[in-house]
Amino acid sequence: MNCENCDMAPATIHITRIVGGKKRKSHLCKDCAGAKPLPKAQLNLPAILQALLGQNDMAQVDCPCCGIGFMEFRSNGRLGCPHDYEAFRKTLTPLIQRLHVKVNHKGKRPSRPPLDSAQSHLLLTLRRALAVAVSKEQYEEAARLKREIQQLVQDTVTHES
Amino acid sequence: MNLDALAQFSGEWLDATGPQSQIVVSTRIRLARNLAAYPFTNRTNNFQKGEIESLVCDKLRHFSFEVDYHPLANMPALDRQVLFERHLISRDMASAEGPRGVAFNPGESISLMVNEEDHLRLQVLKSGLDLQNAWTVIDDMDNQLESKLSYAFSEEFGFLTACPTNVGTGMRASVMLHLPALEHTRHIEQVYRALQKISLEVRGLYGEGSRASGHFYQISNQVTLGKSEATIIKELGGVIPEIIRYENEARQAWLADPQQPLKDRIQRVLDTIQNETQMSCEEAIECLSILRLATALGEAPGLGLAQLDKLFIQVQQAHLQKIMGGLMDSEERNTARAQFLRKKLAIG
Repeated sequence: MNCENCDMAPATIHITRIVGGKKRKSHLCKDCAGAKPLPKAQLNLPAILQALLGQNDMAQVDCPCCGIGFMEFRSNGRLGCPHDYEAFRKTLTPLIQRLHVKVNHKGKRPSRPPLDSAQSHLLLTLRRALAVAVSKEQYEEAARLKREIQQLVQDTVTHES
Repeated sequence: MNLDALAQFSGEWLDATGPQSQIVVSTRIRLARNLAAYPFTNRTNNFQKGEIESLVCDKLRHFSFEVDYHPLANMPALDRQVLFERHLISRDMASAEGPRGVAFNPGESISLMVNEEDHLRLQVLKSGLDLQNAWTVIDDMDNQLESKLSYAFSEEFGFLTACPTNVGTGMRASVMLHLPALEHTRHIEQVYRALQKISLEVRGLYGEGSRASGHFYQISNQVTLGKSEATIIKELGGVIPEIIRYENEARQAWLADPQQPLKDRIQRVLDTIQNETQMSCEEAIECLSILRLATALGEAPGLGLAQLDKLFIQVQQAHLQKIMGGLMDSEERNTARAQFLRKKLAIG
């Protein structure tokens, strides 16, 4: 029997309540019985990726901008930042080729030049460093990085205006 | 916009006025976009998510479309589920945490999710089969945002997305079809197989991972890179008339079938609605689906497609609780749903 709340997972928790002298039964999955979260998607993309990618020599590669390792992408199916398309190019390109028709964009393009890749990589790297500094409570370093990011954003004429 | 009042109405895309609305409920196009200088959503912390949210909200003030932004971070779970049931946010976004939200217009035909799997998910919904108009609107939305935000883009891979399945155009165009007769005659499997061969995907009522409840099927492009938006739309739009023709043939065959007469099935559904004191959401959707078929075939006088399409949304658990004015357990909901349906359809 599936959970009567989300109808997506087996009902493993069975609750009987007496309300106004009347017996009421609820059959819920573990998630719904707790916080009653919303149902989750069923597609297991990581499993598909693991089957497609297998083990390869990218295992040790980390993105210098966001820090995600290739194995992390392989296990959760999501890239960490736009630069990953460069960092993992060697393995990503054949994967993209299998998912799509061609590895060659034919659709619309932004009307203005995209942000210079060196600038965006620097901003991504600085934002990662800022997050690390905050998490380590290194507030002076965090303040310095924040100023540097603000300056870079101001100097980048093509950035969000 | 008051979310409590929202449950009483349906979006304009559910008014059954669009082309082929007897079989095609709606057309949807979404575009996935990311900002070049931020990590993708799964690697952003709440501070960065907040920055992205502020940045996008600021740009929305200059948007030519009239939209209201609804932050989800502190929104009650029931309201979030209402937005999900109305196809305004994804299931994952409803249950995620941190700064995120959705902007949509009063008719709910255009929406923009912020900090979903991608930083921006633009969506346009149209009644019936209307791919070209949906594209015109979403292209305009995209151009307006892109003139003020630096998207992550590469000449080779196109618009860069968190998941490589969306990279390139970032576009998913889908058409929601009501195919009860193809399911009844078991020809739906043939449709599945044929569509898979041409790289089109078949999903349920609520997209990825959902089941085809109520005999609703969303057919969408699988490929997002290596083809232009126009080609993707042309290819998808090209197969839909054939599926409509196939469903129409199956409907006529079902009507003429002496072994399992459709009219008997319709009568059983009407009896169920009249007599059942409890009704699950699945049962209600199944009943409504048969009534939608009956209405399209002129076999259910007094009912309208728009009325039924609105009920498909309103019988779902969050909408029902909003309409009834309070939280209910599943048994209470099932009782309320049976009464609600009887009243709305004036049966019994």
